[in-house]
Amino acid sequence: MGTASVIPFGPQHPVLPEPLHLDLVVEDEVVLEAMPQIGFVHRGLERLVRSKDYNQFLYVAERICGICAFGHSMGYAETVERLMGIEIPQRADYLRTIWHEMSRIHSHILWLGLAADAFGFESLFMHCWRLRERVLDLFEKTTGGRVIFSVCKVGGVQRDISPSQMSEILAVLDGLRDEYSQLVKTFLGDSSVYSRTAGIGAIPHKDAVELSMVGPFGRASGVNYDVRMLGHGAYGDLADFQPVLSTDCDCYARMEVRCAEVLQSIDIIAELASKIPAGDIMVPVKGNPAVDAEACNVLEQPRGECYYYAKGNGSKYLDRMRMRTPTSQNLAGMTLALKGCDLADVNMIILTIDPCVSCTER
Amino acid sequence: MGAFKLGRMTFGSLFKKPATVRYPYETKPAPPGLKGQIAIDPAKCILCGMCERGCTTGCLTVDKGSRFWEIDRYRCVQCGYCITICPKECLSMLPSYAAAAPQKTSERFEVPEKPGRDDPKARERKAVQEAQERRGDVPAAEVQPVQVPPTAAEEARLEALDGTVTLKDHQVEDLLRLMDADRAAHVRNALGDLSAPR
Ligand code: SF4
Ligand code: SF4
Repeated sequence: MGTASVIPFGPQHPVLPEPLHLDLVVEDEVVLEAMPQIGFVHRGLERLVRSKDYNQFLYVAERICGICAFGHSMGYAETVERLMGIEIPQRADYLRTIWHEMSRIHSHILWLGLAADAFGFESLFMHCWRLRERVLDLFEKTTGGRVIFSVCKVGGVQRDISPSQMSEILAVLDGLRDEYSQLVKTFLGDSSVYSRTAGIGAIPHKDAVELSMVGPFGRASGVNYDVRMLGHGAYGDLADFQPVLSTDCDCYARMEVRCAEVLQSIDIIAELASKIPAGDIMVPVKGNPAVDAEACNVLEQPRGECYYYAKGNGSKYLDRMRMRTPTSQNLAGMTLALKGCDLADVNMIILTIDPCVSCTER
Repeated sequence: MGAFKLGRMTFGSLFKKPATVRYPYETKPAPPGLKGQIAIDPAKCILCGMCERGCTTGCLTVDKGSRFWEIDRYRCVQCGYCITICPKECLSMLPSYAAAAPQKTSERFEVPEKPGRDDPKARERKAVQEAQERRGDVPAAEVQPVQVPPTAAEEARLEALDGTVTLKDHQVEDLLRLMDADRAAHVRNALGDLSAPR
């Protein structure tokens, strides 16, 4: 029997893409408790809403995170549209959803690469990022930016996707599907990957529900919740949407869910591209949000449900803009998953919640 | 289950073209819609300053008096918001990035005077008003600074000074105190006139 000692983990750690600090109470290489600490990249972006008008703040909102950038601009724009009672054209809704699903593809493939890196499979990591690059190239062609697009605006979108671009998107994603399936075979069928992930950091369904876990992290524990199934915007026009679930509750299951969600997103994009209506892509926006008008909105980010709240004060500046990001929801689940795990599995478990600390701290 | 699942892809890659380019000897061609840098057509610009007020990062400077439009490319984030609010549509996005430089400088464009029969001021006011209406802005109320005329005593003192005397520090302070007292008395008098009981 050894004595318990505290090992600091992060905020600078080779496996962490983001600054998260953990105090691990360790005894005999087993983690007894993990205490997370954040606050290393706080930028006060929510406060900026009082000095940037509601149109300008969109460009701030999309800089909250470098991976779900489009999701944040879309979530913010939708919230302000609700606040002001603006109905956007259907085509704009479809375009937003297509870009958002493409963001999910690139985010999940990026995560799969990082996971491969975390369990030491470098060539798998490189192949994942090679595929992700194709999605980024599509973004560059359709929006003009690779990570930050600035293509959303309150009242619609700034750019349209032409039919030729749309068929290019479909062709590239189709080509991606083939190579991606080979990668998935490695993730889900390779014995070395399996031994690093199966049975590690399990969170039972009951705990997952109690801790309100969201996103692929929750769905891997059987939490049947995905904002997309509420059918907001263009998601409502999908013929069928079933969240990807798993009941294994461990790191392997989380990988499985994300692997399947990429294919699901490719299908969603193909379906939306075949249904997209012609028409305007934006409506003119006049006036300011009313005094004390309030609006809220939920959006399924690649990491899970993100909640937005906005309050107007009659001027062009909003009174309050608040976001609750998926990572802040999932941190509690992460500390539970870390309890009782082996010290060598800590990095794998932390990675499987796909922590986005920049989103959380804003 | 089994190992070497990635074997086919890895060995296949040996016989394929590399996925990367040999930067900086080679670069990828920029797609036409790339958000590279902001360009201005000075011939169209009316120096209304809408872009300066709207810019998300505050990197634009519009000087009406000296007739120039200036951009700090190191602060611009290529969001394109200025393009959407310019009433004359003179801003655009070029698909090439601004080159790096050893020093951060702003780029300045001279805006030529526009010939025309009608009053350029009126045209510009109209364009601003239209753009503000489009955006739903309420024009800021013109704030008139309160003017307090110099008192006779103050003027006399200033005249006496008229650049010929060199004052010591404490003298300057004395003078300022006296001037303040004068002004205060003046304001009191003005208020007294108004608030005196009838
Ligand atoms: S908004 Fe357009 S017209 Fe007005 S100053 Fe800027 S560039 Fe010139
Ligand atoms: S693109 Fe954005 S940051 Fe750059 S000058 Fe225009 S408004 Fe300012």
